[in-house]
Amino acid sequence: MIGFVERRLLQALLVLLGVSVVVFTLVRLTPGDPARVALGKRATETQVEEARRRMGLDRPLPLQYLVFLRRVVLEGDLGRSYRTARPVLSDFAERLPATFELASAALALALALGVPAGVVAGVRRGGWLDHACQVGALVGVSMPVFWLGYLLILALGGVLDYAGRISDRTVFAFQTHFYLAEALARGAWPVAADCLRHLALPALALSTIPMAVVARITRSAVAEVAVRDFVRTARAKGLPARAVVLRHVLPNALIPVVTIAGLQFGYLLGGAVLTETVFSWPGLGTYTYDAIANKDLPAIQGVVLLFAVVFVAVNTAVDLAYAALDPRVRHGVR
Amino acid sequence: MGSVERRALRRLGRMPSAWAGGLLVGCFLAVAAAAPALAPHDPVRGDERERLTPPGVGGHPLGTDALGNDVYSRVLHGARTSLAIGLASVALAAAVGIPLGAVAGYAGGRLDALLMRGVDVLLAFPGILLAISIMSVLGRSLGWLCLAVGVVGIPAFARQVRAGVLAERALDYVQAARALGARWPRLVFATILPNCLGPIIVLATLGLGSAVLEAAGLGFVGLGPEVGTPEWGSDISLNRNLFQAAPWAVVAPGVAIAAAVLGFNLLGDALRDVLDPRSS
Repeated sequence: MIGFVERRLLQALLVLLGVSVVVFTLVRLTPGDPARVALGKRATETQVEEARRRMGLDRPLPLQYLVFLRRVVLEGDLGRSYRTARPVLSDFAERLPATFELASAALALALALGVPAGVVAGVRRGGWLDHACQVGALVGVSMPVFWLGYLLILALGGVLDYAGRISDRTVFAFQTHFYLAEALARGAWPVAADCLRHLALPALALSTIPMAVVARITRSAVAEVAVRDFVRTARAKGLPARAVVLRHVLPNALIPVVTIAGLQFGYLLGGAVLTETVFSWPGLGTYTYDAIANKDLPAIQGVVLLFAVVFVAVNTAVDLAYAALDPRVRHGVR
Repeated sequence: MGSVERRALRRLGRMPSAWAGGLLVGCFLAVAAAAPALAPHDPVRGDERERLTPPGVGGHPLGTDALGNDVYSRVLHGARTSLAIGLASVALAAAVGIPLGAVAGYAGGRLDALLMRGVDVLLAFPGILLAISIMSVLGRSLGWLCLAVGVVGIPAFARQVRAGVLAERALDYVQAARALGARWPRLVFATILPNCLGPIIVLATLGLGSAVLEAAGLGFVGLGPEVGTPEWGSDISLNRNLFQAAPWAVVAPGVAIAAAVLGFNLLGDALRDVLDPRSS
């Protein structure tokens, strides 16, 4: 019998194979002959025929799939973007760090505000703050994230002196594409402040849904733990209410919160596509938006494949971390 | 209507959130039904000379957009588009997801594993990216939009129904029906499934909300219905570059999206409290 870790990894691998089949199918469903698209309108029939052979389009579909898989997995070749005329993978290398910074900032915000709100709501169930949190969470998940972005710019854009793009990008000559992290690491405070100013609003917009989810999960986890015997014992010992919550309730309630936070990462990636455009944040979201606007199919399919791989990897890591924390999961006890 | 249903309805009637949600959903349905009668202007034949008229001027209660169309009329007509997408996509998700989950849950073993791994693959695409990739291949159209949003909704139905069928399968009434000679299609769809209906109704209600939200997101990135069709997400996208100068054309469709989605979420949560015994 194989262990939990091996089983989970195998499952992730199978899912990724499935993902590659879906993406390959979408590539093949794309209207228009790829050979003709690659050569342009003025190519002759023989040239197109020759290109089809060269690109392997004359071979049976399952074989084409295997070739596609080998190219993607072994060579990291996701094709060439029609729009930037560069390999999709090098475009990604430039854009992913910014999206990673945005998603991390949004997740940090969601945890920093969602956990305390959920704790207070869970401890004082039925109180006004509990009701306020619940209403806020419900409204938060009902708003389109991109629209919220525009509202934030209207409301706070003036205060933050928000002006489209990161202004120092050309002057400062970034070595990497982790804008905020690099500015901080190099001690360039004005540049970091500028990055932060540009990051604040998109991160806030993107964080609303994860924040609502985190607050809701924290609330129910806290409420569940708060009635356990060890909490009653702690209280009976005479510990102040604050210490009971911080030292006994919260650590036990955090496990599901961490899991949910990990799972929200997928939402953050999808949400980034809708949010970055609003704020001209130079990440994969804006890249995807431009790709859609230009019918740049290799780029779109590359983004989808990449995001799915990242998402599956994060989910698997969360599951494994969960199993490491909770032996019941490892041994299949429910 | 049995006594159980009547009791559920009575409980629902005592929940303020159910009333609020019902009201919002009711408004949404009414607006979608009566849009042509309610709208003061043709939503697509605007006057170029009246571009970006502020709200309240020239008979435009919510102003006009970047093309000179009446924003109020477009928001009203947009409700039709959103409702059509919501209903069609949820129907598709349910029509595929329910049988899938039911068969997987009842059959168990290898078939179950195979079907649910397929569902896992759909779940591996984060957020609306699956819909984006489908739409970018098929191109803008209302029909493809329903298909793309519907496909994204399949896993939720499949998982919910599978869990329900798994829980019911071992119960005595199912064993009794089997002992009486009922074969599996009858057992699954006529005996077991009606008892899993509560969570399905909840899921469909919440699903309508997320379908409206997803469709708006797709419209916003330029993958909505045909160009010119009044659709809330596409309308926000159309006016996005002018939103500092003419915020009404961006704010109004967004309020409509948020109100409709909030309505479905409120109603869905209230229904869950009443219909889904496990969650409460």
